[in-house]
Amino acid sequence: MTQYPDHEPFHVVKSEPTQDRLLEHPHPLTPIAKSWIAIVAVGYFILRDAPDLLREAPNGGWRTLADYWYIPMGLMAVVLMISLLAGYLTWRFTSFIIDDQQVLIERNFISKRSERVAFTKIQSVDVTQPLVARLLGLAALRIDVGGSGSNANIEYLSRKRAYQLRDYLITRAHGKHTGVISSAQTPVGTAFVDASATDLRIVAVPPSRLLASMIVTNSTIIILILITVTVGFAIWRDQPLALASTSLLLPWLLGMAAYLLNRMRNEWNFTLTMTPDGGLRTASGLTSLTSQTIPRNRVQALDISQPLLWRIMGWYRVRIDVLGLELEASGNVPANLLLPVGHKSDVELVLKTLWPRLALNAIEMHPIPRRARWLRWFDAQTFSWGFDERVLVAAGGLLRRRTSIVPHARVQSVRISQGIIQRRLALADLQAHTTPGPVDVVCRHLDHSAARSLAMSELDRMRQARSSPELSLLYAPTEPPRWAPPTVQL
Amino acid sequence: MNVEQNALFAPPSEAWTPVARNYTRLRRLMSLINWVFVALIVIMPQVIVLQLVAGARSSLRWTLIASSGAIIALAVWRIWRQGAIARSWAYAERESDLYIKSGIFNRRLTVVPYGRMQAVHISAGPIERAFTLATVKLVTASAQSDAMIPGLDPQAAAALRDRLTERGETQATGL
Repeated sequence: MTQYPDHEPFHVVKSEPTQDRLLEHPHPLTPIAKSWIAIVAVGYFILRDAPDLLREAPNGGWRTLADYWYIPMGLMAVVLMISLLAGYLTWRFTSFIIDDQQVLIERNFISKRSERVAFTKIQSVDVTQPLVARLLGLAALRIDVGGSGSNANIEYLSRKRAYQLRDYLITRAHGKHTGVISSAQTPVGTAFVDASATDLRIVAVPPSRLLASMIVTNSTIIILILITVTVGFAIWRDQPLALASTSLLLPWLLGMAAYLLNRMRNEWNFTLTMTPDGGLRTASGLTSLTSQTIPRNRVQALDISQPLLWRIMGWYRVRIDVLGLELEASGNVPANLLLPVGHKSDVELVLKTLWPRLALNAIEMHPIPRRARWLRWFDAQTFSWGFDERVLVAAGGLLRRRTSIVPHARVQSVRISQGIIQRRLALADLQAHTTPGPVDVVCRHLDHSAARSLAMSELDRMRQARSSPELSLLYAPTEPPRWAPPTVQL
Repeated sequence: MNVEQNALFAPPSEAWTPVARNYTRLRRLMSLINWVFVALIVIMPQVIVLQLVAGARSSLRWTLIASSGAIIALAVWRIWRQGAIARSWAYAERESDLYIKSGIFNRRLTVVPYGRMQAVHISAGPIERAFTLATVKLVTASAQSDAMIPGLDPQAAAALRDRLTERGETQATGL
């Protein structure tokens, strides 16, 4: 391990580039992983046209493939040559240089481009493995530097190297010093799970539960009811033509199937692990495996939701707002998901890991006045709100029960709003604004004086929570974490 | 409207600062333009049909009169209400937060702590400039905040921005 103490007088000399510097080239298979579609397409056309070549023999009569073997073979060879050449050029002219301060990505093929990411700017590092790359044993690194559209991509490295580099970059982003060369000895995960021996696995969602949870949803039931009604009507009135009207559901069914397949693709094999440095990491994916690091101090709000039918199974879904992560962050990454589907014990485990000091069960929840029934005919009794010194909680919903939690320190601003019917009923909504993401924290239909005093006291609690570190939901730096990470050999 | 209802949207101590009087005129003009468009969309097809289809005359004449009457009545009412809507916009600068209220039917009160402001923008479109008005917009890390004060006098807007940015700097907290 190379360590440079701050008072070291010859710091500059010591950290000269040759000292501790790693030069990586993209894996030679990179062009195949990137442009496999083109290669497959060329191959497909060649094979498709091969029989035609046989039939249109110039001298009349039939010739065998043996006479023309050189045509498809030659084309294949050209394609192969091109991809090999492209592989060589990418390998030769792209380099990833990682030294003691920064990551440099240099592309010097025709025009020179150089991207530089200082370790201090790194917000998180994700590893993605699209299907073909995964089959080839390759993985890409996506370095998130906070600003939008300014991510640095390292495509592609061997899976092992990608994991190692990710671990190294995250360690450095946390301000710790480790040697870049020695990072090669870190234990790493496999093609199926991204969890090294030093990680603590918190929750894993078995595929069977994910599949079951997708079938047991509100829309499935609505569709079943509609189909039953139509079929029942057709039988009752002896009108077989009425069955044709079920085809009207087709677009909806297709849309739902696409949505479910997409969810399955993204959320398959979901695992949540805790890394030795206390960060959270999610990994999931059916064809492509994506793993994402979530620094806990960037989590802004959280919501626990439960569709009506999940109550039978006791399942919940946990989503979060993460600072700097938009909803559809990087293509197919469910970046805002902390638990696709899990039992109450899983939710508690996730909450305990994310915010050890959150005491959700100890928070006194207040129901909303009964007169709210005029506005919410069926679900007025489900709404409630509450707070303690650390968080504000809003709950409610019948078809989808939701509990939204936001730490006071993360609330950006608050708003009281009131429509005309609410005014007649002396009710008001209170909304706590959080950074962009799936979580909305709205306490609905409070008694107006309660809304007013909650808003005013919330402003005080926001101030209080921001200025006193002991109100943090994470452990104070002096307090030892409940889970002591095993010593890492870097 | 009872006293308690007003208290819901009152600032804790200081009185509200209203927006410029000109803002009423701007809102009335915008409302007038909107209603002219609505009237065109509703009335024009009827007039065309009346001109082209001979048999439609007697029955359509009455719908035309009724719909134009309704639109004019609605428009007059809406334009008259713009005064109250414009006056409903107000803000109050307190020690550590900015309060903004608006709306008559759907009322809202937004409170933004100075420490949470990331930027303060002033904007003035061509119509606003014609009325010598400007809009101040507050940016926080949340898109939901949507905090803005329209209809300010440009000098007042600039002064407000300066005060806000200064307080934002002194009270800034990390995310």
